[in-house]
Amino acid sequence: MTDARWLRIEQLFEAVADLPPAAREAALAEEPDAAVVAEVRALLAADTSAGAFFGALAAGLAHEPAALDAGAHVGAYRVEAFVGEGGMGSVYRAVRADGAFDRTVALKVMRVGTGDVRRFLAERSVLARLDHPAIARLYDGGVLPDGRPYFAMEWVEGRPLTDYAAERGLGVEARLELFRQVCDAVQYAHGRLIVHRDLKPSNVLVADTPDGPRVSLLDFGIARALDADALTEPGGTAPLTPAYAAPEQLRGEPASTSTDVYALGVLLYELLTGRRPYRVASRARAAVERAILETQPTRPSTAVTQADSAESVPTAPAAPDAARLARRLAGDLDAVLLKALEKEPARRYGSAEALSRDLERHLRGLPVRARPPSAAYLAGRFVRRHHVGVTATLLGAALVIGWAATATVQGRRLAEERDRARLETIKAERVTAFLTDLFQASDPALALGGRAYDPDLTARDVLDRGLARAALLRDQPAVQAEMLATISQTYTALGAYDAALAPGEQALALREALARDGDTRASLEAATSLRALGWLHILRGENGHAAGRFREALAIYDAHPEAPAADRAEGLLLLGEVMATVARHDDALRLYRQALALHREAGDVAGEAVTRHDLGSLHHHLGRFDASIAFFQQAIALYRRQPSPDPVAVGASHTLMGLVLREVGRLDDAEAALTTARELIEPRLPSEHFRVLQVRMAWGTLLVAQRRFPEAVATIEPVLNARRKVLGRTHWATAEAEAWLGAAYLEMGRLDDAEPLLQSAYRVLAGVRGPDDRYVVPIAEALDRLRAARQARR
Amino acid sequence: MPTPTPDVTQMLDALGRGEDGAVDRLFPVVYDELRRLAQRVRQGPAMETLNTTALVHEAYLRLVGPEHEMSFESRAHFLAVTAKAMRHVLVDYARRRGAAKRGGGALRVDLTAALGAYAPPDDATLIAVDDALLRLGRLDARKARVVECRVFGGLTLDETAAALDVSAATVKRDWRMAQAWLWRELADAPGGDGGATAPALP
Repeated sequence: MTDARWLRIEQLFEAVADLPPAAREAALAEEPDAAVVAEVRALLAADTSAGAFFGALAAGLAHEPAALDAGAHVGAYRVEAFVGEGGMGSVYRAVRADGAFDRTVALKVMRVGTGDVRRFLAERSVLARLDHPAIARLYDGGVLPDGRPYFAMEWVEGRPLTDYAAERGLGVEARLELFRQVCDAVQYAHGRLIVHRDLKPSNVLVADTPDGPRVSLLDFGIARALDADALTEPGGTAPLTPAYAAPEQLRGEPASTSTDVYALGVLLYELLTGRRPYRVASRARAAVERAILETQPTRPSTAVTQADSAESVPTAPAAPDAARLARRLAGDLDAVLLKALEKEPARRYGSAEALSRDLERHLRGLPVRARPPSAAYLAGRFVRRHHVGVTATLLGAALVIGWAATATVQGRRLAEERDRARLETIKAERVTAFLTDLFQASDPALALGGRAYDPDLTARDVLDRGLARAALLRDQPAVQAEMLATISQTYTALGAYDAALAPGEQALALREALARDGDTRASLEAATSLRALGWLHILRGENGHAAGRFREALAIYDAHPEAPAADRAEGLLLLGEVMATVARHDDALRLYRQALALHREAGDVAGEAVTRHDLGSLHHHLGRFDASIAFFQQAIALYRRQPSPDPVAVGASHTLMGLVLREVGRLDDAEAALTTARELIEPRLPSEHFRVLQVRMAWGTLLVAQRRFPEAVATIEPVLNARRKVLGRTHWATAEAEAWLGAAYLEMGRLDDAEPLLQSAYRVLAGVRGPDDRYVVPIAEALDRLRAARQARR
Repeated sequence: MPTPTPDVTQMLDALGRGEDGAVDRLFPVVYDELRRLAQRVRQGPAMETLNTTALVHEAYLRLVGPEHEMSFESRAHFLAVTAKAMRHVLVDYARRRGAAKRGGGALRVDLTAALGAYAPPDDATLIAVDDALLRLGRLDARKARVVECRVFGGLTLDETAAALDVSAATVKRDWRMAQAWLWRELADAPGGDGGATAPALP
């Protein structure tokens, strides 16, 4: 065969392999060379079987050796018995061999090797921090001498969720209650930025306990730790069923919390209907994948009455007949399931918690949010906000010239505190339920009638109402403090800095009172309040107050050696940020270094990333541009090593790196970095969020540098207006926007527009940073040039 | 038996620089190591089948050492050499055993049986695949190397792409077409069993 003919065969095969039959025939008919067509037809005929054959061949070759014998030692464990084959490998029952604990574990020895042992071990330590009653604990993990990774996990007795429900003949309500336990556990892990990626009935076990059925989730985050690309690769060798995979997973895109929400949808679908959501012609992997990617799920109430379904219904809920079950599912539950199973992640429930709460609403006879679009919109919006308020409130500062921290203070604080008493959980749940109830009570469909809906106004209304309710909790100061703190943080996240102050102060006072009564945890919570208030002061431009709060917080940590290292490091970082803002760079550098040492000691990758980001910003201030860029790159790399990197944090690092690149004249690189930053940040946050304003501001400065002045004006002006509204006129960030807008006008020769802006900017910034600061001097120079231009015109 | 240890890391560096002959120098070292490991596994108790992925990684650890910092690319290059060596170790062994058992008689490939879940392939299948792969290599060398990496080395798509210095998309396309071509070859081969088009010879 000639090379040319082989090439033609290859091209034609690739061109037609994925076409539907009719289009394929049409394409083949256009090929003049009959031998080529014959060969391509033969290859097409072989395509499906070939994939299966080589998949089996590779898997057969890679087959693990015979089972580990009883008595074999694996790490600190001794194998007792072989339990079975799972999707990813073999499972054994084992016990601690060194007698350190009397503990039985499930030892999972993976079939597939892990590419990067160090990353695997890092993931393992992240997973080991998950501590939730419905998540099987990960105790240990390592790599066998032959390269196969293993995990030692909590030994869980139980039946797969769907089997359990079928065997007990549970009705729809009981199934929904069980399922909501699953959602709670998933939400808990998502709050710690860990995604399951492989939720399916065999990973959700249910056992009877004296308190009723108890759910245990297995293998949380394991798929990620192994990161077998076979999971997402069509025709790959992974023996995992794709039936629970989300469309984005099949497309090879990274999994997110939304991926788990989708898998929860499949799980619930199966639990309620006894079937999978899609009708597929065969169980071949390709057919299943195509159905998931291209077809809409069958409406659950329709599915249960279809006799010709490929799946039988042995696990469907007990209902006298299919028609009755169909009536039970029609409406609410159809809507909930179809929303969870949306192909587009953004159209699904915003979190596992949102899914669970909608089911709760259904159980309580309230309208579900999945049904009316406006309400669903509101729910999604609130949950996103709420999420910001509760778990990631203190997103760091990093306005363009000033601050840097990316501190996701509270989210990481929670992750560190896995051993805290159950009270914490209850408290958090109560606060969450409280806020959510408040929000639902303000549902515009119910409350606003025909009035135009202003989401920000409503969110404010809700919080205002929350304050009134929190006042009623006088007899439970710990809970009251938590609510006030949450409300304060949510106001902060909404940009309502004035409203945020009072509840924040009250929460602090309550916690300090509890601490005086000897409550150690309250002391540490008081320190958390101090950090939150300090952050609020930073945002309000009150640097002196901010520094005072952080110093108080650090003093508390010094008195409590048991305080989490991450909290202490956070305090150091925030104080460092204030120091950097007021141009006390040596102090800032010292504080950042201390924070870095703490994070590294604790193996806290996220914390290290934040610190390196801050160091990048500081070196930018100091004019050490190469070092600054390197720090941002390190921060980005560290963020990306995490199971689910926070896109906003990664975006913030790109933003600041883009600024440095602009400043050193690498405008193309700057544009690339800022484009990435905008893509990461803008779709995820409200338009007046400071991160959004920050990245738009940065974009505006790039446009100035590129001498695209009209575009720069169009970009910076809205930022300035928003900052005037949110931060006020004397805030340095407002001044920053004025300075750049003034500079753009000056370049355009619009002197009358430029002058007041530059003057106002100079007044504020010279006050904050001193007249000799490298950000202030150029403004003075611009004013000089402006005056010179005026002279010349006269 | 102690043999003068060739400096594997030096060879790897040469491999990373794309030096001529680097693969040829590294191959025999890796081959010997894999053969030793495979022999040990086969003589061990209750371990009849080889776990190629495990062997490849163990060979890596033994030759390179866990502490040696290696870029993803260099590691992939090394694994590709290991995949080639693995192929030879397996096929040489199958040929020797087949010759001993059947005196070199005709091979019969049972493709449908080979589709069974995760059983190790029998000698005849392995040899037939190797033969077909040789023919594919003459037609399109890169596709044959992709198959070698994926099947005998257990390399991921990305590792294969890095090893062959092509994009993952190219590997994906090559892998698909190569599989189809090989399957067709195997089904059409004398003694093949792949469908009605392939008459089974006695």
